[in-house]
Amino acid sequence: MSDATVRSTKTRRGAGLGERAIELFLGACGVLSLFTTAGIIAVLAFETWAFFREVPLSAFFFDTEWTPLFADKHFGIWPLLAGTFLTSAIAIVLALPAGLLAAIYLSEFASARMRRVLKPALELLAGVPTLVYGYFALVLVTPLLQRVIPDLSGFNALSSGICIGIMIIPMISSLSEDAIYAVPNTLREGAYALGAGRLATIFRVVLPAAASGIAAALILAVSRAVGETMIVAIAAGQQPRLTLDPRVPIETMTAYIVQVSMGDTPADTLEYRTIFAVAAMLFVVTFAMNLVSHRLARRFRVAST
Amino acid sequence: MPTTREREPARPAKFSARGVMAFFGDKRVLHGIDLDIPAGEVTAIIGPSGCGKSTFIRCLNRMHELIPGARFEGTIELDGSSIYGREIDPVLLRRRAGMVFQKPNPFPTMSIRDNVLAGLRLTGSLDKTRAEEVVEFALKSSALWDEVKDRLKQPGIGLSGGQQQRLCIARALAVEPEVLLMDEPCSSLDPVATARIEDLIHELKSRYTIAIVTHNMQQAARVSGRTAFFLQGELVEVGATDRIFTAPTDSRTEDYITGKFG
Repeated sequence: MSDATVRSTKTRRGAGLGERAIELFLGACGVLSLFTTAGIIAVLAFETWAFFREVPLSAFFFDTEWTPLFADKHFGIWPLLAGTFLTSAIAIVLALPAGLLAAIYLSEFASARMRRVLKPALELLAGVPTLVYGYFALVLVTPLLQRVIPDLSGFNALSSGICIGIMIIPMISSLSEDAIYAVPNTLREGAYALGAGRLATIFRVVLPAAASGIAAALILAVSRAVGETMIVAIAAGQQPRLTLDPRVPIETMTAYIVQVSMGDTPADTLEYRTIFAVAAMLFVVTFAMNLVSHRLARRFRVAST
Repeated sequence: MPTTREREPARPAKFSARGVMAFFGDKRVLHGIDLDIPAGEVTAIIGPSGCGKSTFIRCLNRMHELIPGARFEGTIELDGSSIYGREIDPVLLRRRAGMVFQKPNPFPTMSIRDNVLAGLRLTGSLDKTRAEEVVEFALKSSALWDEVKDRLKQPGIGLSGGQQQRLCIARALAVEPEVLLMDEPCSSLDPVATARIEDLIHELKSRYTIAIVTHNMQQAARVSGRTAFFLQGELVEVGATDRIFTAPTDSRTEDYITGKFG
């Protein structure tokens, strides 16, 4: 009896060892992303700290010019922030209504066959390389817009913003559709049974019930627009300018980082460190938005159960 | 003199259904129902799961057709005029026949007050000067007023299950329907909450025509004046509730009410 017990314990132990190895490996894979994030934050923090030893915080936040590559150096982040804000705002103004209406159509109106065709087609938009959108903005959208707006520069925030908007439509529509789809059908029935029409049911019962999910989708889309690089690097220009005029060349935070890291700025100089300070700023903005989005999405899950 | 046959109901028919057939895709779930719902009375529809009782009352306010692939044949008249005519707007019909569902479904983004007013708001027929009056009337009619009068601004989903169901009844009453269709309104409630809803049905029957679907025979016996027994998409028997439960004419009705199946 004791013999059998010992043997069975041994096999258990052997299996336990194999299981532990697999568990460790899986755990390591999971932790890898954590280390990557930690590594990124560490590098950003280190270089940003080095930057702010030479440039005071007040110069960064209260100056209104960004000219670190010129002889007369200014380190005010606002022109880059304004550029990012402008292109992102244009993108959202275009993508939110378009994406939301597409989501409403797909979830509430489209036939099953229409859905089967439209949904993948829409999601294909998200798969187009952003480089292609950049060229699209530069050689197609800008010339077209120039026919309507004659004083539009060759590089401008407007056409980049429009193309970012097109790029994030599928993100908004797909996530919003999930949120709308998750609204229990009993609510729609409740509204119809009260004598509500289709539009009233959708806009006053279904959409409010899906609101936090839609808000989460919106914030994720904003953070995607803020981080978008290739389109603005190609089509928005390289002129940090504190303006909200969409017709003139500007520069976004991301485009500035591309400009410096692709150019001949030597490493370990103050000019070089500026990109880490800008990247840290960008990181803070998108990280904050992702946090808010997570919180909203969680509330939305609670509300829909 | 026919003793086992039901005499015609004394009251005029509010709903009059003839040859009602309902389909989901190719599957026929109602096979030609002839049934009157008399005015100012509670009619209970009983039968085992899947017998088509819910589908039948969903034909009365044209909710059945909202399900993709669902189809209807036959005629149903409300006060003598067809509700399936080409000129009939189902949206307007549903304002005359309110519905309460199996699971309470208050609108989660709305307060108690807004839930009551939802029907009027959604149909664009809310007279703002009468809003408070409507809220009080509907909540008193659904016996919820005393419990919620101090927290009308709080969300409707914060209430207990039974209170939520009475809120849904208040919401239905606020649009001033003539008929109340109740689809197993107590199936997700505990016995105490169920008793309150049943008391409420007694209070409401003088003012509204009520059709209630239930799988609970005791409930049918307690609340209704007439009972219809459905089985596999057919109407087996209909008559005064007392008679159905004491002297059913069809052996299948007897087997069901004595618990031989179901």
